[in-house]
Amino acid sequence: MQEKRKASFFKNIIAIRGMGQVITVSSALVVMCIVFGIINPNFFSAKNISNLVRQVAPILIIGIGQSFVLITGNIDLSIGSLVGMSCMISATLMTKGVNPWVSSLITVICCLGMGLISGLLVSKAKLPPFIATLGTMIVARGIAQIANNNYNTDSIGEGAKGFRNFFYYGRTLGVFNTIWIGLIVFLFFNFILSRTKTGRHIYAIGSNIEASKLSGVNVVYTTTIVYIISAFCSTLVGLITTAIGGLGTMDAGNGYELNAVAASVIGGVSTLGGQGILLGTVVGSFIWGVLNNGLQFAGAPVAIRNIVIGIVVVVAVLIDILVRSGKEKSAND
Amino acid sequence: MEDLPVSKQQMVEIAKALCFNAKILIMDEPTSSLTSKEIEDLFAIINSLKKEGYGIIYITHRLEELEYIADRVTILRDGRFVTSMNFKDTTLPEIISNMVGREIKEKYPRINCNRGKKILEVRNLNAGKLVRNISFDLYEGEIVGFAGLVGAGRTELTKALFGANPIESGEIILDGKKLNIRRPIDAINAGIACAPEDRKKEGLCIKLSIRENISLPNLDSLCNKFGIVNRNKEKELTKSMAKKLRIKMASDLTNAENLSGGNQQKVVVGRWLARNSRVVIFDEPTRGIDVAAKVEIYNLMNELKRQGIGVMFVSSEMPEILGISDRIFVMCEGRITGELDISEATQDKIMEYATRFEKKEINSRTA
Amino acid sequence: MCKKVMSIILVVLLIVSMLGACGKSETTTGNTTGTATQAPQTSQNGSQNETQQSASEKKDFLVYLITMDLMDQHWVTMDQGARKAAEELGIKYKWTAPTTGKDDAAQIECINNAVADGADAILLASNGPTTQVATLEEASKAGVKIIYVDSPAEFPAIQTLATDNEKAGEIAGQEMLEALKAKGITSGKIGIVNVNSATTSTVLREQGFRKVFEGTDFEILPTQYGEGQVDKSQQIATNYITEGCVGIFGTNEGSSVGVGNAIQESGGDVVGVGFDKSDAILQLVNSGALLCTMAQNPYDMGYKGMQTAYAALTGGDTGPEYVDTGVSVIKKQ
Repeated sequence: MQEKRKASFFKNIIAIRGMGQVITVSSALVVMCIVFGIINPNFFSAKNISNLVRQVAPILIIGIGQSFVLITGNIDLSIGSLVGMSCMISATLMTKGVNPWVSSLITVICCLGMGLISGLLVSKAKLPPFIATLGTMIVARGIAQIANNNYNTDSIGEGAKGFRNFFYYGRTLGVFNTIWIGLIVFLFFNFILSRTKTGRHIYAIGSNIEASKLSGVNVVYTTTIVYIISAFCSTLVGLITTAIGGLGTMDAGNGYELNAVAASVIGGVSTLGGQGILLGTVVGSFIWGVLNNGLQFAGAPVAIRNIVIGIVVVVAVLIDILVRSGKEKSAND
Repeated sequence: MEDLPVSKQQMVEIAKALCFNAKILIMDEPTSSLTSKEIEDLFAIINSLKKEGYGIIYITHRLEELEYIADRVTILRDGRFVTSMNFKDTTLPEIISNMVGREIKEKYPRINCNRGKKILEVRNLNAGKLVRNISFDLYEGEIVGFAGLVGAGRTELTKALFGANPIESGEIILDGKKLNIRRPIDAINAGIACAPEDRKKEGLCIKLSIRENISLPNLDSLCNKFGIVNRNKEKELTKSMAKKLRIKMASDLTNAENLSGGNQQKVVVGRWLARNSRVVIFDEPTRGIDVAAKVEIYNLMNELKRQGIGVMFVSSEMPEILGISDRIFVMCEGRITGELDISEATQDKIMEYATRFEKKEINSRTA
Repeated sequence: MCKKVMSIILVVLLIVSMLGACGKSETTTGNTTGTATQAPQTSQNGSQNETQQSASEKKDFLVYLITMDLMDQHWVTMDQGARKAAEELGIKYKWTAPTTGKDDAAQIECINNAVADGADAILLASNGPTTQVATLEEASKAGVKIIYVDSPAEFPAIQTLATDNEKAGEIAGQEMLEALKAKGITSGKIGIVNVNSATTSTVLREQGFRKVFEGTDFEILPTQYGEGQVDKSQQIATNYITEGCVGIFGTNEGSSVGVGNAIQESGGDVVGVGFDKSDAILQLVNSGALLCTMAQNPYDMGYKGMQTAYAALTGGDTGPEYVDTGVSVIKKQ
């Protein structure tokens, strides 16, 4: 009887769509960790593990934002610039003496506004997401540059110590706050995606936008919401970046949108929409983080490092596209 | 290509196939979107190809076509070979019973109901050039068929009623209340349901599971006030729909793409049954599905009729329309050109109305 | 139709912004008086006046400053120096650089745009010492005078005003070595956080730094690259600390902030040496997180470079081919 229960428990897990890929990628992750650990045992030290997970948290957060957008069949290229915009606005306000929490609130409002614009450009103006978010990407980066008159900011000062501890340096119950933040973001958004009506609509739109419309899904609303969610995630990571550095830098977040795509795609979220679960994004983010961290401990020369990371990403995206469109072809016959 | 109507697309496909100088030609449901004239032309081509020595494998559900072109008949069922015989050595009923595995008593089960009160009133509806000044009524206890040539505007009419195409002018009155339909959600909330013509493109999210497809338009009733889906209710809904419609599936978590055409159509329709719909629109519901499944769809329509739900039935297969409807509206070029009660309806009369094109003004000849 | 129009507009905007990838700062026109009879202040040749007055084309000279980006304090200060000299000399002045950061190709575009704009001389901080040779050759043929500031390219120019980066790197290394000796540490691991493998200036700094440690019992780990971004550099430095490094060297402004923050978080035992000056770096030096930082003299580079340009354009003595503007070691005040 016990055997049967164990078997059906596992069967239920595998039956969740998307779990197959998650399990495969998790195994790859475990192998990777073991290899890095063998090359340099310092990789497994408690200090490094805790630093590593803290480094993964921001990748996971923007990965979650990008995953929401990818599942609807769209893409968000403005993530990196929004991180920069959030970092610069919050830091600039803080250097001018504004309370860090008020600064954060103002930053959130501004950046969510940007997300709203991206969302409306795609859903109402019907611009291709690539072009729409390329536009907001450029504008957001521009705002990041003029926020402090084309300079990086000064240090945000002693008054921001609480802010910096909250987002990065502090620990709660022995675990870095950043890790808790990442965990809470994951649990919250995973719930929305898997258990709410909006989550169902998100998958439906990504799967078949026509059929969704004819089933009463409000495509404009849902599409806009995912861009706002993505903007929220980018903003949060921007605040974390300000906390990390203790200043605002105009180049913060450069290239993050592609890291976010990589983490999502490695975890099984398809760039063609309608597929993937956030647990996959978690694993994808860990793969990304472990690669970055482990290659340093392995003493790999830079050339190898870039090649390895590049190959992993390209292979993941290729597999995604080949498998998905192969399946689509056979379904259309 | 996407600008061509489905029938023209099919003609291009056939032409493409003929260009290849192949020895064997396989045609899979080639006539499903063709008009009778085009079908005649196709049969002529097939017969001449036969004379030239081509081998043709012709896959169809439309058994009435066989007598024009078939020499041998091979029957498959559930993925297995059943039998193969010369066409002249067999009869249609024998073919049908081989296809289904059991005897079908009636091809078109018809039931009689008393006509109840008026459900839907459409007045002077205009929605683009294929829906012009449409007016008709729909009552409880009846199935209203919409016949016409391909391109007559029937699908466009259903789309307008469902809020998928913009309405320019006119009124839609449901149970005495005037409706303001601008998007599908308006129609759905008012109680109008629609099983669209192209089920793969418009009816189903093909990569989502059966369960997710069935629950999609029903999420409002499956969620609590915070928008959280009650997963048990969802499972129950899927189970009861699957049972009611006899949907054959391995589990309700299977992807919709893995179902047969007939079962897919049942999922498309099944989604709407849980809602208290007042009108259900079927657009070409039996296209591309096997005989047994067709009968189940007809039974479903009859069941709705019995429950007092208005049924709009668009089809290009005249026997089907004549077999199931109580009243028939015929459309041509966006207008309703005729209304026939079933007692007086014949194929010829329908054809006559369907070809009543508007006289166009010709300025050229006169000096 | 509307959607197509909007797409086209956005794409056009994109292309325009990429062409203007060379952002322009405000231009100063040095048109104080029509007759520029005053000699440049550091004139070493009294016979200049004759050549000036014989210049029948009494045009306003246009001099461009092309840096690596518009954001680093380093270039901002250099612009200030150049601008001041331009004002004093009555020269028309424009500052430009790739808006997207250290981008070789974009900087080539900036050079071409400057030439097309009618620049008489260019002060260039080259991002691509070998790749820009052809472009500079063309510019030179067009009569444009070339002066290098901060980073030379491999095309002969009138003068190079720069920090001797290798020497500065050595100074940094010496400071670290002495500090370690003073703590009684004579062996251990040392980490370098560099920017990328292409930027000559930072590569030379690393070279100089490494020279100092040759023959000692210290082991320098394989260099990691943080792209000059604070959070990336900080992660790298944190990992170095986990590995047990006793000293870490940051080769430019962003890298140094990251290194300092990481050392501060770990408790401050590690010896950190930085490069460049900024408010954040000074704070880290004063708090003890960084031992010291090598402050360059970008102001001098800009100021003196502009003077050399003027001398070159007016036929005066331009001075030595190489001017080392030096570094000052900034320690805790």
